[in-house]
Amino acid sequence: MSLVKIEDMAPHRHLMMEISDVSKSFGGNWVLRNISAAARSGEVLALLGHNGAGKSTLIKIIAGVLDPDSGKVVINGQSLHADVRAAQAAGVAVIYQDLSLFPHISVSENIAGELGGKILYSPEDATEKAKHALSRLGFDELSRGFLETPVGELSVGMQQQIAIARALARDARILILDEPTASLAAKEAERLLEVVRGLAQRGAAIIFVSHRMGEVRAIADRFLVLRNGEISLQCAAGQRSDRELADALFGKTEQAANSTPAPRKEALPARSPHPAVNVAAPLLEVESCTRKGEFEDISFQLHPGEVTVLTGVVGSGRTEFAQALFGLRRLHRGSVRIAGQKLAPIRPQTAVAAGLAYLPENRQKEGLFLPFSVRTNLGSATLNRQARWGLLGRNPAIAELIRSFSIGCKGPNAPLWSLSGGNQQKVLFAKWMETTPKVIILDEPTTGVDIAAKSEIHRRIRALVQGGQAALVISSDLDEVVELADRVLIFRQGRLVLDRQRESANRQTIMQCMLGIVSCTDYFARGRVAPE
Amino acid sequence: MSPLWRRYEARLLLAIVFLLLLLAVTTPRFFAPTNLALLARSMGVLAILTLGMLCVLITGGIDVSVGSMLAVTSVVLARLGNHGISEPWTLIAVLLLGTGLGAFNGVLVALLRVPPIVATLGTLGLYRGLLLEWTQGEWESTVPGWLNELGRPRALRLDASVWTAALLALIAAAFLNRTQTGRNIFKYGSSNLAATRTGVSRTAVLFTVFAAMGFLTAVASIFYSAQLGSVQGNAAVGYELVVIAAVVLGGTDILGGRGSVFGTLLGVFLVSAIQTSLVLLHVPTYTQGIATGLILLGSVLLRRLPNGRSARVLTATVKPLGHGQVS
Repeated sequence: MSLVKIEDMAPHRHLMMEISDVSKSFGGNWVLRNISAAARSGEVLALLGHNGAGKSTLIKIIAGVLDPDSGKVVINGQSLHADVRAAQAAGVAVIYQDLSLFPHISVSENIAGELGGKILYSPEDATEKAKHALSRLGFDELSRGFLETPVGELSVGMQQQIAIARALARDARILILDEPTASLAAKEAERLLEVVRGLAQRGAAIIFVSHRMGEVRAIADRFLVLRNGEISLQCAAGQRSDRELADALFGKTEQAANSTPAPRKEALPARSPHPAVNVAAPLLEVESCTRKGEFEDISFQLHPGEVTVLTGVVGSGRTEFAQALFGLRRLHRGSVRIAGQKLAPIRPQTAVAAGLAYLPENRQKEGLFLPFSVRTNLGSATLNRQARWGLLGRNPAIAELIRSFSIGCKGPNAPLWSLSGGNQQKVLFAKWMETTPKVIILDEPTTGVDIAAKSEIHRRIRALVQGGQAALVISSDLDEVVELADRVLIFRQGRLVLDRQRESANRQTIMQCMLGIVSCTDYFARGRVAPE
Repeated sequence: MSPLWRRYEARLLLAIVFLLLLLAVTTPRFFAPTNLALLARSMGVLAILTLGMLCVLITGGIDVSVGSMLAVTSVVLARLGNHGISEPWTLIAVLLLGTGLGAFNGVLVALLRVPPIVATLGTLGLYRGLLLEWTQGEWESTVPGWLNELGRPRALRLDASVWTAALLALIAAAFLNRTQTGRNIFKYGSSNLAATRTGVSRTAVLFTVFAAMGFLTAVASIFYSAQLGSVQGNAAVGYELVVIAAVVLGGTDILGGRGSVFGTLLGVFLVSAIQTSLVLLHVPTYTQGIATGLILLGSVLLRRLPNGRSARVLTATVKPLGHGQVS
């Protein structure tokens, strides 16, 4: 067969999947460019990449959900084109983060699925099939009644195993696991890794997506690292150090670290002179905030005149934390003060009244009203102020607002969906500025906006804090972190692992703390802060 | 299947025993053979309707047009019969009509993606309105002789509605538990995202349950008009409340994914027994709506209480995977 050519690395591992020169773009933006990769039986391929690097698009192309613009996907010698059924038949199974199980339905039926096009359903056949699949996972003795238990009553870790068993029952030989350990406790995660390793040893090809460096190290045979839609590293696992991996994930550190001030920074107003010695009273005080399973014991303060950037990998609890500050999720423990005033209870209403603004990451769904006009959207956070005797008048300041925020639109009555992503973000920003917040939280404010709008938004944030307010920006974009931050906070697995002035944390430190390559407390306790 | 005493049905049985004990003390007349036969008779029609509603509710949908559909099929049945159309043709016509009314709901929900509550609320008004327009408020004060005959008691003093309901219950249980289509109904109700990802057809599932609801309503209407001996355009107004209450009381999750034929039959018994005893206690008819409403709300609220099951930790005995095996 023609497949033999790539088998030089490991002759006993035959090729299960090959993608060559795959590219994909959405609306003129390249999401994937010239990706060529292969998965072999018996091998765990770790697919790594930061937010928006193109991992999920690549998975969808392999699973047949999306069709690539160019290039081809060959599975078991069969060329496939955006056909989920054909991909399944060829042996591809994706275990999505949400698992897609049926919570009310028994373990055995979840695993067995449809029993090969028969009209009648036989619980006995399903039990047989489920037992067989589970035994391949190493579950040989099942406790009584286990197979009849509704899946929703099992732990998340166990559900994960059920999802894998289902894939095995369908005879999947290429198993794609999308962040399988993200919601698992340490022990469950360990067990999962063991299972995945075992499956590979029995001849499956595994594609493993994860943000946790430790487990990737433990399990992967090869790395495929994506950055901005391109392959930034593809190698055997043992060949590269953690640092080289981190470089591939985030881009080279050397140049960026050595070339301060970066040329782009000149577009921004100057940073606050000495944020390190900030004597003004804090605007936001967060004390030992905890929400079980999401984040734990978070304490820090925001001072006026500072841009603080909160960063961390996906699943580190950043967004959950921000939503809890704003009262969208209940805190299990901890307190929040704004300008010295304690928020009690923490609800969006009290938070807004106290001077907090939250700009959500998913602005189209959670932040804006797309079918409504620019005018309505701009006024939507300040209805109380516009109302007289309970009736809304026209807000005369709208035209001025559109001008001062340079919102590109056909006029105040244009529906919001007709605006570009960048201009929608400006509307969201302007709407909240109308509430004259003391503290503003921006969750990924520049995803999906063009470069011009991005620097405009950065300028606005900078101008805002110079007016004496405080900003908390959540960002996964390391360039943005470095460019914008006076102070950097890093979350890892729900904990605040780093809280430093930007000057004392260089790009590389931030990166390594995010990934957990170094323990941040040790790093700083020993005073090993690398000079920039 | 989890052990019987842990299941919701067990608690229902307990409630039934408690009610019967209570009745034995307060209204011994309840246990008179004539009353029991009457109770059984009143359960037949309700049981047939609940079997259809069970399927609809398992998908996470609802059908509030059953009362209107029941009235339409009953009046058409009586009219056709009274105009001398023969028994088999009348029955065939009515069954087709009922299935058509249900299928129309199905088209709205499955193909046009109208939310079930809105679609069937619309047809509730539409079907009833068309019926009243057609009859102009006139009663069918008699029903044909063969229909009267159907309403008479048979074996064990029970009429044909009870025996038909029992047969249909067996068929429904087999359908829901032992056919792929039946299982797909549960899967769709349990997680419609996961269902579509595993190739369950949303359209097929939703259309099937609404059409089946219509068919079963037509079957029920045969016994309904046979028992009443006369029908009119305002028949069975608000009856959907009783049907839904019985199914929900029977342990069906109003959000979909869970429900059983056995539980539903227990729910039917409980609702009918309560209503019959209210009659025996001379409680005015309009107060009975209060009881039915409270049953519906109470059974949904009771389900919210923690039931100890979720706390159960389930583990499978795990044998570690052997390393180094290559198959």
